[in-house]
Amino acid sequence: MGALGASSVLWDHAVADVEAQGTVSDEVVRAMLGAQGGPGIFADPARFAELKSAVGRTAQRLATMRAFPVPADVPPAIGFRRD
Amino acid sequence: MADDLWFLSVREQAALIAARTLSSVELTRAYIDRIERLDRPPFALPAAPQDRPGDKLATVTTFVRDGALAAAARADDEIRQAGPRSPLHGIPFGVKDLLDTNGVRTTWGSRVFADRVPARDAAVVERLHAAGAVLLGKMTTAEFAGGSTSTALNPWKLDRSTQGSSSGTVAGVVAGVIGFGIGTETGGSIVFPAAAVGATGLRPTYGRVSRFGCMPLAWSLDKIGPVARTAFDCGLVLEVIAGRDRRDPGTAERAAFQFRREPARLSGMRIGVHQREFDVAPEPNRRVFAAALDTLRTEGAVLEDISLPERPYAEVFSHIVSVESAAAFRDIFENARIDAMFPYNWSRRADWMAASMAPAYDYLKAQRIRQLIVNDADTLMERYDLTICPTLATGSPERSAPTSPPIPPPSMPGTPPDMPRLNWVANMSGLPGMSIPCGFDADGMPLALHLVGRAWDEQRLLDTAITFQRATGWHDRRPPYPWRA
Repeated sequence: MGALGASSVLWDHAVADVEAQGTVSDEVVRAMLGAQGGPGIFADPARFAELKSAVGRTAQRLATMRAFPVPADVPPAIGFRRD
Repeated sequence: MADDLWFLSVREQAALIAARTLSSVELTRAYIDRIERLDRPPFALPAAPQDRPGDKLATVTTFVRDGALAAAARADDEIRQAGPRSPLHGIPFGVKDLLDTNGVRTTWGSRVFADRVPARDAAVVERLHAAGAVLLGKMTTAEFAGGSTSTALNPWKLDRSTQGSSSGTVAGVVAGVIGFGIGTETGGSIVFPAAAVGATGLRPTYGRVSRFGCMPLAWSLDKIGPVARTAFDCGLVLEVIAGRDRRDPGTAERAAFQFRREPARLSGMRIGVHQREFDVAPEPNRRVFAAALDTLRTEGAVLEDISLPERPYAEVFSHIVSVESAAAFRDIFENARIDAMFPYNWSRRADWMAASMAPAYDYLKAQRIRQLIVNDADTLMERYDLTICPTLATGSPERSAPTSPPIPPPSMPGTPPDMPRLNWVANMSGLPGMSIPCGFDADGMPLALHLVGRAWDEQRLLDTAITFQRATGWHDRRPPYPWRA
């Protein structure tokens, strides 16, 4: 998993995992934590299990949104403005 | 003088105060007595939403007893000298415990901030103080506005949920422990709890009310609005709290609101009915909702069925909230204070962590789909003055462990996961809305309509809600607590 350094690649794996088997692998979640500086409070096994579930829920959302077509000329609704 | 001052509307209380037949101190003492008898002395954070604090309502997290009496005495002096300077002058109120109050503990519902005492007022609190209103309490909220977690009890039945993060505010209004309240909404946290307890709640247009000094949950979605016993009172409060504030760049130049007291007639008003949401209600509830819609027809409104396009509403909303919350709370992860979060919220903590690691691309994709939803809403609202759905299809269920994601409350069994869909559309589009009581289910729990208006047209929402309340009187029903056997 060391080759999976970039966060976006890890999430591609997570999305593929949930689509194929309904859950993400421990390896992907550990790599995500490593990429952002270490496990912190999620080193604890019970908390790691919670995080793994959360990554699975997030990956499921991403899978749905990535599959939803948006016309190229639709910008994000982030709305910076200057009155 | 009425012996149930605490249940009078703000409008009625203000008239008595202006006529000098009631003082602010008398009114404040009446509420203090109610809080001390019915609420939860000595006022502390609940250990967890599942923990029943006996038969006390637990609407107040921090009681401002002495400060309220001092403010009420000042209000009486000012009114004696110059008359009331606003309809809220001398009226006791409570604010959801996400809004900063100078010198008064503001916990965000969490042990993480159990001792946090701000040295400033939130913009909304500043405006209410300037209007002469009397801060009586910081109202209970689920930890970090944790959506459907239910910390304050439902005055109608203590074993039922209050359905949302503004639970203390709505329950306090309905139980008559505050004159009016302030709630916040990201995805339903005013309208859902208001419906659960039979209060009237108003979600303003995004950008109408400053969020300066309020806990951020999701910057691109958060709104602050009034909760009261009548729609008219919501108008009075909105007029005071609305307005441009340069400390919150989300507020608009046109944010100020002038409440027109006499409602326009509904004759000819076009209302779009999201029938699909009424259809998923149980049969007895459908009859209640049908009668409510008939009332609007009788008043002259023209009702037509509408449909909403297929979009991944729940996923888009959840992702935007999760990513923005994760960013807002990042510092309490980094300094390990997150360890003090209540165990019931640990799955949410994990959701935030996951969202904080998700690619920016996906957040922007969520916001692009949201733009489609905004475009849908704008097209729809060109054809209708209002749209309408049940706030919740059922009366409030039994209190139970919270769910993740926490906002809005989970759908009833058998309904699609994106219901109530009009609520998603309204919140993501920044459209104003009101929840108004419209009857009761077979168990005696309140049911409510959710009116959704055009951006910046809260007046038409208020016109409709005031007319409906004058015609029906459902908002005047009082819960049996504490007079039940």
